[in-house]
Amino acid sequence: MSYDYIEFGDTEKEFTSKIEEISGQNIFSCYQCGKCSAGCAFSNLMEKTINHTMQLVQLGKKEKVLQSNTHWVCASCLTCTVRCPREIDVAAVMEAIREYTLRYEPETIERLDLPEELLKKIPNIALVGSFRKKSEL
Amino acid sequence: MRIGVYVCECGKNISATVDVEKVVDYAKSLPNVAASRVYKYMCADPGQELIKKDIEELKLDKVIVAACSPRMHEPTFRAAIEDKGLNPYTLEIVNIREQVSWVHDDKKKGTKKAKSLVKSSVMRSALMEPLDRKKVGVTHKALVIGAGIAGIQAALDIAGSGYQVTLVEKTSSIGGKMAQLDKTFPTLDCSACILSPKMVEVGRNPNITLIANAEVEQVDGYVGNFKVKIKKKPRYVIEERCTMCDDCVPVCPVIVHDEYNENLSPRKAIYIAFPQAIPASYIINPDDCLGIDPLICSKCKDVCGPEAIDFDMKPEIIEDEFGAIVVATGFDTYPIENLGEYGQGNIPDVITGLEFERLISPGGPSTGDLRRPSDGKLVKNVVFIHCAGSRDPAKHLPYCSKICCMYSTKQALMFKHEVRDGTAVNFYIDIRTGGKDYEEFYQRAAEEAKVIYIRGKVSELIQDGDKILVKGVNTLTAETVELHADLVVLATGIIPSQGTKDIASVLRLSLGINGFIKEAHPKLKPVETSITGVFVAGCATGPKDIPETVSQAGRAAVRACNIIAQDEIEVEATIAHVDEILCRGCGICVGTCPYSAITLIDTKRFGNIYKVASVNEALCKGCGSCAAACLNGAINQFGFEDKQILAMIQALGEE
Amino acid sequence: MKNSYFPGCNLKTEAKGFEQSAIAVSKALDAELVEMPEWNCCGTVQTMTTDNLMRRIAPVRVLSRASNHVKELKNSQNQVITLCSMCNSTLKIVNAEVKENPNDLEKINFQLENDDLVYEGDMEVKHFLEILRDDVGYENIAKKVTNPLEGMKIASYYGCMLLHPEKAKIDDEEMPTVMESIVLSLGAEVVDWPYFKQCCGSYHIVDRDDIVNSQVVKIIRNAKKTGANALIVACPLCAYNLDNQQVELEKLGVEKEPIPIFYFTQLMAIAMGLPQKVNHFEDHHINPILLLKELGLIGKKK
Repeated sequence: MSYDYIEFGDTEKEFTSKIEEISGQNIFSCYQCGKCSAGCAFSNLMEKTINHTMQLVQLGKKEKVLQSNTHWVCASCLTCTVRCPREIDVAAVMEAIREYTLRYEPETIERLDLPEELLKKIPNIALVGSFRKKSEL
Repeated sequence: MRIGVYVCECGKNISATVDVEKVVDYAKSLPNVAASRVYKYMCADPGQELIKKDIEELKLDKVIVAACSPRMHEPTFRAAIEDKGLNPYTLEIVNIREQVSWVHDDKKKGTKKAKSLVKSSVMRSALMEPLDRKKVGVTHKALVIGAGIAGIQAALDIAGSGYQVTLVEKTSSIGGKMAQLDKTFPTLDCSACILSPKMVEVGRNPNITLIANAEVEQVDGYVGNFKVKIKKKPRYVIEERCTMCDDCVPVCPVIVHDEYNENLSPRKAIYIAFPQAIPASYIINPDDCLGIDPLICSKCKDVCGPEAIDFDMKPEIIEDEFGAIVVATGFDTYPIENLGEYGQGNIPDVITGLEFERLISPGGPSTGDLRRPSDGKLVKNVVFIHCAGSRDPAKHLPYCSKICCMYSTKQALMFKHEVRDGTAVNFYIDIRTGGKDYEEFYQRAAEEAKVIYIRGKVSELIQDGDKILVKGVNTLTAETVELHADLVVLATGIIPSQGTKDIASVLRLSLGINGFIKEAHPKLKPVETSITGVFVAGCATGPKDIPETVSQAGRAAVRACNIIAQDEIEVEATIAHVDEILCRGCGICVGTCPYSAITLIDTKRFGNIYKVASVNEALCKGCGSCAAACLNGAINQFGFEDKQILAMIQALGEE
Repeated sequence: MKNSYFPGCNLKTEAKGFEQSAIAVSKALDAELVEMPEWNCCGTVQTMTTDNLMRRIAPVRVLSRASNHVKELKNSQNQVITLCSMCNSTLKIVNAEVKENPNDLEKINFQLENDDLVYEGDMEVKHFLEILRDDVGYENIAKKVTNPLEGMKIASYYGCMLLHPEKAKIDDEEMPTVMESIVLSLGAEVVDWPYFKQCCGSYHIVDRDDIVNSQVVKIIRNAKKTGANALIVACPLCAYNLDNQQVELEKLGVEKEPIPIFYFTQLMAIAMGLPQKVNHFEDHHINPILLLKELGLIGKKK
C-alpha cells in the first residue's frame, strides 16, 4: 500500500477525463489544501480523505479511487463545494465517481434488501434520494 | 514617398505563429513600399543597423517596424531613425506579437491578420507628418505620499540626494504598519528599534517637510510640474508647544478604541499614537472629543501647562508644486469579517496577525504577557492559520500575500520564546520562504523551538467552552484532525489600503484587477506608473516584505530624482489640437477629457465672439478621447489624425 | 396575495403538520400558499452530473406547470414557493441551470411536448422562509403574535440544502439569520450554536443509519450544550432524522432526554394562536406537546 508506480497511460487519462466530463469540473484546479476534508462531517467514516481522492483522480488511479468508500459515504451536503478556495464543485466530483461506478462497473455494487417495515417508515424523500445516489435508477 | 517595412521574428515568439516571410513579400506589393525585410531580432543592434543602412542607401522617408508592442521598443526605433535624420514621430509600429502571435495559435490566420495590420500601417504611414519635440521646465522638489517604511525611505533617499521633499501622512504619526509590529523576520529585530531612527531622521532632516494628519486632495499638472493641494486636518494641539507630559490624558473623559493597538485597548480622545510617534505631539481626534468646544469640555486645555491646546484650529489647504511624486500608501489586511467559517470576527480569541503583534508587544495591551482578548487568561497553545482568505479565488483573495508564511513562523517563534512550555501549531498549504535567510528561519522555528507545522487548511473554527475547536486536516497523514486552542491567529493577507484607492483616483492611476496600483512594466518598470513622473513604492503595488519595500523605495527615490534634477524635460508630442473653424463650442470634449486639459475660450470670428475649445498642451496626455468624442471632427490628435485612422480602417476593411 | 405553492411528496405524508401549519400561517399573514395543480416529484436530490438531462425533466415540468398556475392566480408574482428545503434546492438549481443553458432547456421542452407543456424560464423558486423575510417582513409576523413563545430556547437548524450551494442558498452560508429572526419575532429565545448546518446524514438513513446517528448525536448534544430546549427545521428529512433517530439513540442508550423537533411554521402557528390541529403533532416521534404544556404555551384556558 505504500508503493505506487506513476504513469500517465490511456487508462489513467481516460479515467481522469471521464470524471471531469461527468462532473463538469477541472480536477487539476485542486492544489491540495485539504479544506474539503477538513470541513467534511463524514470524514471519520471515509477510507480516504477527499483531497486524497482528488489527487488520485488527478493521477488517474481508478482502482484506488473506486475501492475507497469515500464517495459512497459522501452525503452531498456540499460543505466542501461552498468552501473550496479553487471553486471546484467537490461534491460533484464525488457524484461523478458514484456515477462512473454505476454506469461502467455496476457489478461491483452490492445489492441491498430493504425490510418492508423500513420502507414504510422512512420518508419518500430519503428513499428516492438514496436510490438516485446509489443505484442505476 | 519611400517606406521601409521591417518584420521581426522575435526568436520564435512571432515566427511560430506568423509566417514572416509571407508578410515581408506581401508588404513589398503595397503602395510606396521601397524595402521590406525580416530579421530574427529587429531590436538588436544588427537589426537597427539594417534599418539605418536602408534609410541611407534607399533614401527611405518612413519606417514601419512589425514587432512587439510599442510600449517595449518604440523608443529604441525612434532613436534609430532619428539618428539617420528622420523625424522620430514618423515611425510606425505594428504589434504582431502581443496582438497576433501571442494570442492566436493558427499560423494561417495569424499570418493573414499580420498582413492586414501591416497593410493598414502602410496606409497610415504615408500620411504621417513630422512632429516637434516639446520641452517644459521642472520644479526641483518631490512629493512623497504616505509615511510608512516605504514613504519614509523614499523621502530620506530623495533628501539624501540634496533635494527638497514633502512627506504627507494621513494619520497623526509616521511609521505605518511597521510601527505596529513587535519584531521582524528573519532576524527578530525589534521593529521599533530599527524603524525609529529613520523616523527621527525624517523629523530632523532639513530637506524634508513633514505634513502629518493630512491628505492629498487634488493633483493637477504633469511631469515636472505637478500642482498639488494638500488638506491638513487640525490637530488641536500646537506641535511646537506640546512637551508630551501626558497631563491631558488622565483628565480626558472620553474612552475609545486604540487603533494603534488594533482596537484591543482603550485610549482617550486626546492621545499620542505611540510613544515614538513623529511628529512628537499629542492630538485630539475631533470625532472622539465631546465637541472641540470649551463650553462642553475643556479639561485637557485647563491642565495643559505649555498652553498647547487650541480649539480654534481650522483645516488648512496647502498648495505647492512638485516635479515628481512617489506614492507609498501601503496596505490594509484582509477583513476578518469576510471569513464566515472562521467566525467573522465574532469569536473573541480568533484574531489577526496584526492583533497578535500588538498582544505580544511589551508596548501592547497586555504589556507583553500575551493574554487573550476574551478573558485575559495567559495563552498556552496557539494555532496559526496560514492563507486566511488568501489563494482563494472562489470567495476571497486570489493571490498569495507573500509575507504570511514568514510572519506566522515569526509569531510562532516569538510565542515559543515567551511561553516555553506552550504549543504553537501552524496550519499551512505551502511554506513559501523566498527571501534571504528565510528558509533557515523556518527550519530554525521547527528544529529549535519545536513549532509544529501541519499541512492542511482549516475549514471551520467553533467556540467550544472557553476554547476554540479547530477543525482541520493533515494532508500528509491523510486524516481529518481536530484540536482545541486557547488562541487562533489568522494570517490574513494584504489588500490595497483605502489610501491607495483614494490616491489612485486623485492621480488617475491605473489599477490592476486586485486593486493594487499597476506598474508601467511588471518586471522592468516596477516603480513607474501609467503617469510619467508618478512613482510608486511598497505595498501599494502588491504584497511585499520590508527589505523589498525598502529597496523599491530607494529606486522610486532615484527615479524621482532623475526628473527633479533636470532643468527641463521632454513631454508628449502626440497631443490634441483644435481646428477653430470647425469647432462649434459645444463643450463635449471638455467633459470627456480625463485630464482637465480642455477649456472653452472666446475667439473672434467675422466680428463676433465665439466659444471654441482650447487644449492645454502641457496637461494633454494624448489619450484621444476628445478627438473621438468631437461631433464635428474639429479636434484631432497629432500622430493620430482622422485621415490617418480612416486610412487604416479602410485598409482593414479590404480583403 | 396568493402564491403558487409546490408541496412535494413528503408534505402529504410524514410532514402534514409542516404543510398545514404553513398554509394556515400564510393565510393569516396574507401571503397565501395555494397548491399548484398536477405537480410531480421535484426530482429529489439534484443531480450534480453535467450530462444527464433526464433527471432535470421532472423539476422543469414542475416549473412550467407552476408558471401556468401563476397565470391562473392573477396578480401573483412569477414565483413558486416550496416548504421542503430539498425541493427548494433541486428546483432552484435546475431553474438556474436551464436559464443559463437555453440549449438544454430546448431539449427538455421537447420532452415536455407530450404533456403540452413548455417552460420559458420565467419563474423564480422561493422557499417560504424567503417569503416571510422579504415579502411579509419580521415586524408583520410579530404583529400577529398573540401567544409569545416565552421560555422556548430555539436552536435553528438550517441543514445543508437551505444554504448550499451558492445557486440555491437563501441566506449567508456561514452566518445565516432568517430563522433566528423569525424565532425572535415569535417571542422565543435563540441560541447561538455552531452546528446549525452540520449535515443530518440525509438519505443515508435508508442503508447507513450509523452515519445518521453519529451526526444526530453531534447536532443534538451541541444544541443541548447551548441550552436549547427545541430545534426548528425546514426539511422533512432533517426532521425525520433528528426526530426519529433521537428515539432510536435513546433505545440504544446513547443519548437520553430527547428534545422536540418542530417545523418553524408549527411554532409560528402556536405563537399566532392558530388551531392546534394544523400541526399534526401526532406524527412526531418525540412528543412536542409535553414541552409546550410545561411552558404553558398550549392548553391554558384558565
